[in-house]
Amino acid sequence: MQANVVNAEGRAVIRLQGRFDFNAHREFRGAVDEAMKGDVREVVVDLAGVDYLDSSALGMLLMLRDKTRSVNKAVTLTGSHGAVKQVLDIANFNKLFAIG
Amino acid sequence: MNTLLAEDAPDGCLHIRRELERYRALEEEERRIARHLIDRLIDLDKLRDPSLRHWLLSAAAFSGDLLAAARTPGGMLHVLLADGTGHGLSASINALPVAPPFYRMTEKGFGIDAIARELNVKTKQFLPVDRFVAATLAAVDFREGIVQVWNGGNPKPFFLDAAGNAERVFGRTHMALGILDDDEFDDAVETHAFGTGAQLILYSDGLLKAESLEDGMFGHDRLAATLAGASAEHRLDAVISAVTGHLGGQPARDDISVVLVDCVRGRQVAAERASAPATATATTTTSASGSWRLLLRLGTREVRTLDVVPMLLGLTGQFEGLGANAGQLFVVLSELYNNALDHGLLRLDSRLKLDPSGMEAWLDEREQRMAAINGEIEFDLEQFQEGARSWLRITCRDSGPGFDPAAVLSPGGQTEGGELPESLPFGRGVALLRSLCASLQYNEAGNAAIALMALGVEPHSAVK
Repeated sequence: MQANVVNAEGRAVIRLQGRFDFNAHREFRGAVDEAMKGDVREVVVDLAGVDYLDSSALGMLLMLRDKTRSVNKAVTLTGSHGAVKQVLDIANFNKLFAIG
Repeated sequence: MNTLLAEDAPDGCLHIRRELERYRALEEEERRIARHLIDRLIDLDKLRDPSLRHWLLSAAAFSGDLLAAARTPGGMLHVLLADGTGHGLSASINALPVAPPFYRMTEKGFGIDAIARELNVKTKQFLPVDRFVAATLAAVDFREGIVQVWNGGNPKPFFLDAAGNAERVFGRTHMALGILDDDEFDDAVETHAFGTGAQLILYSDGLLKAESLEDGMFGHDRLAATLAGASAEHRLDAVISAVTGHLGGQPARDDISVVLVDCVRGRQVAAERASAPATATATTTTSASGSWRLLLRLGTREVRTLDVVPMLLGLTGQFEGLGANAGQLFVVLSELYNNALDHGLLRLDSRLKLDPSGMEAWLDEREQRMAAINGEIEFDLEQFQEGARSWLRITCRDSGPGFDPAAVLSPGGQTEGGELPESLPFGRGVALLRSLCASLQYNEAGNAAIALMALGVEPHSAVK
């Protein structure tokens, strides 16, 4: 998986590409650290480029949620589709995240 | 009731009468509850399948013979004829554990081999060692014109030609349910392809043993003569009148049950109703593609170095009809593989992740253990047609010592209905699997998971 972060106007977008699973942990963590730097009010995880996502990815998203909550930042998931959207739905992530 | 309490009765007599009265009331109450339970567990509606006729004559108020029928999602007819040891209420109770798994598994499209195996496990688990259940399972595929039979301890079922003569006797007799351990159990079924079609007959030994004072037991010859002497339409009635005539007013000593299935090719009466339009479309695309099986064993080195899930996904993607399920399949394969690796072989504890820096600790620990890993993981993927639907059975086995499924299947307060624990950083994997698969089972040792996926349909419509 590839992750890149664009930081603009208090909004950090983490754009993920490829397979979001266990092996993506270090990239994702790095991206989260990057995104949380400075004066950011909102973190957006763009899943448009993600083909697959498994339960470890769900765990990582939950970690992100914990981190953002403890410093009063909002987090939004965008661009989920197909199998990725299905997994998020099954996991009831719409109750935990703003999904855009 | 009042008459028994007549004031002029002598004391001792009154006492006995009261005791008897109490005993009778107690027994009636027990019967009422038993009847209620039994009626609830047996779905009589499904026994009224248009392709099936049956007769059940109980030797006592409760029958030790149990009949059940149900359609698979693909419209195949499954029939179960079970005969619990003895007769009466205790025999009836003995036969009961087989009913719920029969319906449940049929509904999910399992084959009768898998059902027989499961019924054996359940029977062994529930019954005292001296009790067992003779059972015959039959599956009729009207579309393909194929009958499958698994028979454990009942008289040999047979297939009748149009004239009522035995065209095929299903001679392979297995041990009755509840005797053998799972690893000794033989689930081999016999298959018979019928031409234009006729009838399949299943029956309990009570039929052959029905005894007349003058002429002994009813027996095979009388049964064969009766079947050959009647038209298909009237064959069951002919059997009923022959047997009751033979008994000559004597009560039967054992429960008698008979099932006749009209096997007419292409007959889909209940099947059309059973399968939703959406699944019917999915079928046509896959039914022509046949079936395949893929076995993959990964040794220590492969487990350590290969990215297994994408590799498997690439392979399975080559088979027709899996494209629509690729996303679903990825999740199922990943979860199965990760569990086999992380918990089965590496013996990692998910609770590590609970710590604030838990994910890091988990990763470090995983890396360390990975370097010293020793074991193998095996995948067995089998695609098959079950009537109108295509299924994929995925078995993932690791060489680890296994886990206790009961303990792990309810992490973080996961509920029965498969709801996901929302706040814990683990425990979602198994819940995800359950949501995406028609069924998920573990072997007793806890080192193999068996997931069944319906292909070509949205997972939620397949589950519910």
